[in-house]
Amino acid sequence: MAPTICEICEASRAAVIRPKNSQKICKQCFLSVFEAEVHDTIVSNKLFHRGERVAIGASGGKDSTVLASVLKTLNERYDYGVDLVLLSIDEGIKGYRDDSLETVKRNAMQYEMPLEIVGYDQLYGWTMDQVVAQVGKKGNCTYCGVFRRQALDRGAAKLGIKHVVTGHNADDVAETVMMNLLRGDLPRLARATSIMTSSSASEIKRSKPLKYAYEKEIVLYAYHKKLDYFSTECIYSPEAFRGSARTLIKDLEKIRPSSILDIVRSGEDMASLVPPELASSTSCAAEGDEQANGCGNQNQTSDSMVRLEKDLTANEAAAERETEIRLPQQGVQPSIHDKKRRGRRKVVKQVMGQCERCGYLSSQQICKACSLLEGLNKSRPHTTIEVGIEEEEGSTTLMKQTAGLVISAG
Amino acid sequence: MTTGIQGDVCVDCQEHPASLDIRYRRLCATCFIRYVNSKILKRMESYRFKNLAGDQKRRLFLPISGGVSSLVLLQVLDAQLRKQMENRNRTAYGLIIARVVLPDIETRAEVEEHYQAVRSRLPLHDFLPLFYLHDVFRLDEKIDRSLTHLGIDRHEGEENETFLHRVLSACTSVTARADLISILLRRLLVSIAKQQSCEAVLWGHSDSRLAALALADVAKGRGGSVSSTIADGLSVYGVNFNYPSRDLFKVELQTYAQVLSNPLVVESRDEMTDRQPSTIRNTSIDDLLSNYIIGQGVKYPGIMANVVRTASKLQVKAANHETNTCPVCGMPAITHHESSLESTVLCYGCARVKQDIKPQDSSGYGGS
Repeated sequence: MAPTICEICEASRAAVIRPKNSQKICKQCFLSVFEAEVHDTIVSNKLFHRGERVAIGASGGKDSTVLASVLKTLNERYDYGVDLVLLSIDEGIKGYRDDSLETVKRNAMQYEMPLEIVGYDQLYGWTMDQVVAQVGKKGNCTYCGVFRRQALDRGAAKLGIKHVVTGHNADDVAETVMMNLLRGDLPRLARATSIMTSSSASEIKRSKPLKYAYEKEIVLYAYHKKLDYFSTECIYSPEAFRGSARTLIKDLEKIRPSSILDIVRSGEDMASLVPPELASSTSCAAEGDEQANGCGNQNQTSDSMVRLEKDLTANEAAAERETEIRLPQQGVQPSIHDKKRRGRRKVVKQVMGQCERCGYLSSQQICKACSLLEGLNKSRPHTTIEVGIEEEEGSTTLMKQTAGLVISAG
Repeated sequence: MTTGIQGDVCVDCQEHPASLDIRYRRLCATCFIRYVNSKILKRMESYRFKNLAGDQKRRLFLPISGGVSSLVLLQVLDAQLRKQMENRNRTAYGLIIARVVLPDIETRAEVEEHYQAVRSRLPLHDFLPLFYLHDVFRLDEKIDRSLTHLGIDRHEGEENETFLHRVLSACTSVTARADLISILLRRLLVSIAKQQSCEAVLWGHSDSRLAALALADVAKGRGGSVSSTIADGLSVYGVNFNYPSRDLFKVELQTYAQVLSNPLVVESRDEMTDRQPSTIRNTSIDDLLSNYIIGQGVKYPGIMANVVRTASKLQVKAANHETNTCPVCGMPAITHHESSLESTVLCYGCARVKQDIKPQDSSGYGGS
């Protein structure tokens, strides 16, 4: 039996079976096709403009490493004229983040890009090691997710950059679509598949150039390009919950490899069908909890499904009682129902403002990060003077950050 | 549903011992039956007497599949109509019953036997003769032209059954085959309903089934038509679609069939056994999601119910001159101008099915 020939160039021996469509192609064609598809995504969605400075959210993992490598390659090949910078967040997890940051530092040298590292302890006065020591492993991902989201924006603002690209891939987007459908979260469903999200209240926009790239292909690309990346998962993220959206998506991918892109497409179609009053917050991504790779996806899934189930059960019980009470006024019931729906829709709308404490964008008076921080600080023991000194340093850092934000805003 | 401890009492009537756990409430069998009946009949409010004009006679089409859901629905509605006949000597609507024999799943003999058994027990309704899936080529006048969009051309003088076999054989994946069967089945049932002058099709789908359909649509790239798939009211086919059992879970319908003294469900197929295939690759997306809903529905029934509520809130894109309608599945096709798949008139989902279809140009068929 003759060796399989590449379906594209028909010259070399096929070395790769594309996860996306089961096409058998050689290594060189795979690299070319992958890069061409990312380029097509960038151009058709007009992600970049000449002269723009762009920060790449770099964690040292495979997605951000491939993203940095591909963007450097395409920027040189197609002359986007974009100034690329690596931006990393140090959560303060010993044995995990310090090692992955070493990877990012090597990437910065290999790709000749400037690197900026922002730490949780620097911004908030708390490392994740300290947070976990305080609140335990369960639920710590909520803190980390909220902190990281804000930290990325703050890091970009500090550098005077208004565009952050992240390594979210097609698998991440598909999982988000499924999760938002299961959670009944229409505002997030409306924006889950947006490749570029921005907010009228914030200058920093986000985009996902790898939105249509499969996770498996990203791994293959990194392998064939011999890219240097860190692959350990977060040590604080508990065991994956069986039946999560991620598991479902992997099963679907086995049945039909294109399922992931099919789900992404469905997400885009459904986004256009979300009622306008619910979709009005499409551009407000600041408070959204986009799930980052490897950091607590499964844990959040597990927690949120249990919690959501309790809420829905309570809602249904209340609705049952309500229906019984309304029984004598059967004719009036429909209009009452309509009014309630209107009330619900109003609640969903978000008005963006600024946090009273740190000046960061928020839909509440105090942003979520500051709320979490307040909770943490209340529990912090004052057994030694040194701890007190640490606290002062923390608040001083916050004031400096606030001043920095004010200056950059002006 | 677990049998309760001795001593606790039904929360509804406070009299009989509670033997069932229904959504965290302890009910006796009688109150549970009343619960199911009220959920279904509440959804049939638009077909009450007071909505009738004079001598108007409504006809509603109810296809049964032999499964629990459609038979429970039929039994509940039959009881309602018999009560109306006793009280007023006439009914608010008439039921037209039909059954389709699906290829490779069941034989005509066993379907006929069960169908006649149901028929003999419910003399009030109009039972049509059995249909086959390939009857869609006889009753749906546009179906041949629709299939050409999938790259399937019918040979001159080719028989319906032969054509169906060739169409299904052309599918290279289990999912595409299942998708095509469900499209053909839906179009057949709509054609029968129109032929019989019925104003609506009553589907026996439970909440669990609707959730599985919604998720499967999303997984197959048909997210744009999810709201059309599960919405009550006028469908894209010009006939009303109603889902009276949409407020009930599949497991509740199964419990109802067990609790009832005279169920229509007799020796129903071991649906659980069939749903555990050895290899996931031989499963269709629809089956995978049905299993997912069943598995997760046990732990998180509210979340699964939430899927249908969420999908129902999505707007249905009206079929007007602004929106294209897919010629194969009839659903609205949302166009994204960048995509190369949009060079055809097919919706994204059917375009994906087309990729999995490899027509065989066997001259043997044409020669017969």
